[in-house]
Amino acid sequence: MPDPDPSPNATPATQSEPQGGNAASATQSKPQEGDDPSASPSDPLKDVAVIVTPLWAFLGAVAAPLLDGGEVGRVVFIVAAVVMLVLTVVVVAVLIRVPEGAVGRVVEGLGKPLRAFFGRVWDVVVSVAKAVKTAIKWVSRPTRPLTAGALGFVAGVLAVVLVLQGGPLVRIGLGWALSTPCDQPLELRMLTSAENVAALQAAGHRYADESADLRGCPRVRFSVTPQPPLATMSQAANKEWNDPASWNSSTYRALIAVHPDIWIPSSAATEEYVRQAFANLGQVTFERMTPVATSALLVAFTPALEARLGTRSPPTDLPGMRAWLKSVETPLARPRADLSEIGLIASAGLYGAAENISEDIDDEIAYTPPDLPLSDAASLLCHARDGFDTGKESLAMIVPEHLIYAVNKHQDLGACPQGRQTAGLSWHRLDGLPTLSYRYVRLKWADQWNDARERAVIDFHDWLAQDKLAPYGYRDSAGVSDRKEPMPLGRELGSGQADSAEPATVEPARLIDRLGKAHPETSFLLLVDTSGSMGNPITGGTALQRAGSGAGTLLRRLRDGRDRVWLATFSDSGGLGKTLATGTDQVSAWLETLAAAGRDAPLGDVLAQAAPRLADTPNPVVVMLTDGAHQAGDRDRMVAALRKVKGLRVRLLLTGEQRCDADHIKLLVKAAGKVVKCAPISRAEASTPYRPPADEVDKELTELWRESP
Amino acid sequence: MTGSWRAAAVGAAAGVLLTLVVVGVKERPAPAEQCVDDDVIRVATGDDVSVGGARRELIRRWKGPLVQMIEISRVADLKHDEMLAAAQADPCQAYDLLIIDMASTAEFAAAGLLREIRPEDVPSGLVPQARESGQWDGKQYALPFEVDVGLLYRRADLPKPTSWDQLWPAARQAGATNRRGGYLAQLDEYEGRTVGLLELLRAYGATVVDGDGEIVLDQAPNDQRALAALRWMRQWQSDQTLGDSWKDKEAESLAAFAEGGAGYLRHWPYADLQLINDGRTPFALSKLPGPATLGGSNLAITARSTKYDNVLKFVKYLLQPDNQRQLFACGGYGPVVEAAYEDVGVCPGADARETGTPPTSVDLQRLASAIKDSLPTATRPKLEHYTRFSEVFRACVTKYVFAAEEPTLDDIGIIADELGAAKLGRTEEGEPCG
Repeated sequence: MPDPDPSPNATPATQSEPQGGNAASATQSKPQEGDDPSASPSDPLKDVAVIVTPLWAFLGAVAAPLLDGGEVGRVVFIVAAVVMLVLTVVVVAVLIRVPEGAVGRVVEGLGKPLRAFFGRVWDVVVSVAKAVKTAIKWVSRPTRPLTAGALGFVAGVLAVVLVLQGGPLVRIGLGWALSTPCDQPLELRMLTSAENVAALQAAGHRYADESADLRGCPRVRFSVTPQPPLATMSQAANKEWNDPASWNSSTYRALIAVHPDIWIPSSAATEEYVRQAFANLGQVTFERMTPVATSALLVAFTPALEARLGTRSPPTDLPGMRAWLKSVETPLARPRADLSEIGLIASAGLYGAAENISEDIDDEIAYTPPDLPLSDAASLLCHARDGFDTGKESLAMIVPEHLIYAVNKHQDLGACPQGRQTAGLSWHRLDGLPTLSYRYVRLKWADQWNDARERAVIDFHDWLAQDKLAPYGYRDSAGVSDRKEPMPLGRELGSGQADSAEPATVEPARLIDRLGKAHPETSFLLLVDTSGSMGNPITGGTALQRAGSGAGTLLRRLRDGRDRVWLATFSDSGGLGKTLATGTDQVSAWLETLAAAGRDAPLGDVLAQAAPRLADTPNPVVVMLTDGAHQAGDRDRMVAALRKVKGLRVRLLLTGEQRCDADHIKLLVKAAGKVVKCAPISRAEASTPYRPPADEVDKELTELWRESP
Repeated sequence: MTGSWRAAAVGAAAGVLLTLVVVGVKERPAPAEQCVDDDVIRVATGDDVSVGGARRELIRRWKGPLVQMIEISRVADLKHDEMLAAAQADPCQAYDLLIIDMASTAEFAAAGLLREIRPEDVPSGLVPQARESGQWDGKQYALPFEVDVGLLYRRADLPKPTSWDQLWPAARQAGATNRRGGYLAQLDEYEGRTVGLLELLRAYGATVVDGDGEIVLDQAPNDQRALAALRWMRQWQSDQTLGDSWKDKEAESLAAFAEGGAGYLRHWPYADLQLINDGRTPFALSKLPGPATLGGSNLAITARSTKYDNVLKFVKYLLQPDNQRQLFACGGYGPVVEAAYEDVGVCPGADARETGTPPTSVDLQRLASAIKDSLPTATRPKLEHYTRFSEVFRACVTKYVFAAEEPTLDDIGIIADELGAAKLGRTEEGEPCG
């Protein structure tokens, strides 16, 4: 290929003879064609800096958006960087001329093939170089100091940007070439309702992959955990996010969940309810951002129920729907309002404006059928999905639209893995059920923050808000589904608009209080077995740990000012000890100190001693947490003592490996009649695999409430 | 210099200065006065798995500045995530001391999240393998708290195997009469699966990561050994020798063995004391017939904690030989101090337990010997991106164990390539080994 270089400036560089003297000094001593004689002698280094620095600075400034722009952006960046590199070499070669020695030979050796390779591009480069030199000369005129100052200012700004941005980029480039390990990604903790965990986990992985740098190094890593009940979150707010049940211990505390950097509540109202609890605490701030998705609440029918419906459409009004379901002996299940945020929001559409405690009690019993995992909608649907195969589970459930989509698409529900290819759920509208609007809240914990975390949390919001939850059945923040395949509500609405239901208008505090009144005031006496066998291993720890966590769950469910609680322990033949603590705070502190030691106490004798302590208390309940021990004790004495306390009920909760059909327990329960009921709460004995351990206790509390006089 | 150049220089200087001021204001750290400033030593930890809460008892007896133990979660992954996120904070620190998994120590240290323990502050007499688990790049970033090695528990009527080749036929036979499996390990989808699979690969002499942190799985003769191990795992999976291992974590497998549901159990040392206390199933204990995976936890001071000296005093208190002996005798925590393996005594108050037989000094000495004998060959990959490595490792191995087709040497190469990227912390699109 012929040498395409027509430039008079380039000729000496490419034709320079290293042996013939110093090319650089020759440049300085020989004025170039077109130089302004009034200007100072040309300084090649200065010229190179003025030309190249802004260009690199510009590349540095656009690097971040380019690298964030996915594959195309990365390719553009790489191409631009290569072009810049070539341009720099060429400009150096042209303006400085080729210096002597080894460097000169390298530059010359590099320059020739580059020039040959770029051919006509070289002309453009030379033209640009000329133009830039002309500009420099123009700037250099003594009559334009203001312009020179302004351009210098711009160059200064760009130089700083280049220095700040260039370092990481050079490091990434070198790391890429040398296979060095990635920096540790930022750990971002996300908290949300159990119904969103699987989708947000998947979305988080996608975001981490898409935002990885050139080497494939992720900048962030997500952990997504289901949120505790709203009331617990509210109570934990001024306890440094600790479990209120552990707050009074100075040496041992337990978090209610990891400290979230991101919380995705299901409505503005529930977000506001929790935010108010954190107000003015100083250690954490809430930063509310725009919603990232929506999902309407619907009534899902299992295939068995749908079959009974036939070709008819069920009523869309609540009384009509309930009447029809009653006619086919099918319950309408809703996640429990005290445990599930979605359950609480759904209740806003289920309960009328006027409070009527006796009607509310009836409604709560109706919406809380026994033997179902009702801690969240995902667990409920996992349970229902398992029943699809048999075709017998006739159930109507209030659940979000995206979970119906997930079930029917055989997606991961979080509480259970991907489903089998079986018949799916059908769905029906119910007037008044609100649409869930998934807000995005940044939580800034004073002692767990840094600026990079803040930027990452905001970037993830901006990414998520681009309808990134659509593959998991969510609609965008306006309630629109742009997916081509039919969505549950989209199929019915010709326009594809899903936001016909009003956004959730919930008053959480009022609703929690109202539904709380639907549960009767109760007096609990907690009896915890501390004999040595409570230290035995069970699934999930020891029997005593299980008893402690079971008691902790119960304490978290108590309502301030309405329920009362006392604690006593028992072991050895001495039976029941004195009452150790009164009230939630004292009891929780004592629970932290319990240790297993001593021998078994006969359970009947312990109950006989305990019963009188609840005399004359409203709605008295003894909750006995034990591994079951080995003896029933004096049953007649027990029965007599239990009968003396009006309305007394006893729950024998087994935390170890023993079962309720052990001989001595059967004898005890039989002797007491309906007063004593036994239930296992250890994980191995869970009635359903989708019920979290705490839910076993909740199930018993629900039963107690349903049976209340 | 002409006037124009002077003007340009002044403008450039102004531009540089202004930009630096703007950037400085934007990047300034939170004012230090917002950080909690008190004498309380905040310790992040998981829950206490010992019988009777031995660790809590020890901390109750500490006489120095107030120590507040903050139990994050009994789920190991959540504990790791909270500790990592909290340690990444700047400038304030939520925790001064982390009771951190040995496997995660390198990850935290490499990221600059841990304070180097000054050489003069490293107590003498530490178990070498435990001490080395807290080192990274030649420096000590954590001191050991307790050391774990995989041990073999077997029903008392079953033979003691001296090699894996002896163990498998015996386990297969035991599986026929034990409803949960012949050989139970903790192979649920969590870190336990990584531990268990590393042990099964090493049972056939395959090394995944060498001492320098390099992936050597695809190097001869490792590749052939790994292939053989994979094929055997498929066999034990299909003939149910491994039973319910694939859905068990520590607690489930221990409870299954305690109720007599399994023939052999691979578990940590603390299981010994729990099984003795439980007393339902007569059992015997020995070291694994091959190299075990090293586990346990380290005590690491966070890089930005301002309480190094006080925290160190507390750490040294936990490492006193008598305290290590008590943690071992009462809780089954493997001692990290050589002296604690001598003069092993029973747990104070142990005779007050009413069921089973409290561990005797003979029981404890037997356990101590099993741990000590296992330590010389016990290892765990020490990697800057261990979490990513672990995720990819177990995903890949699991895929080939359950694949319809027999794995080949090419598949071993694929696993090695994926692990090579994972150990650098890199992500790949799609599922690992997908």
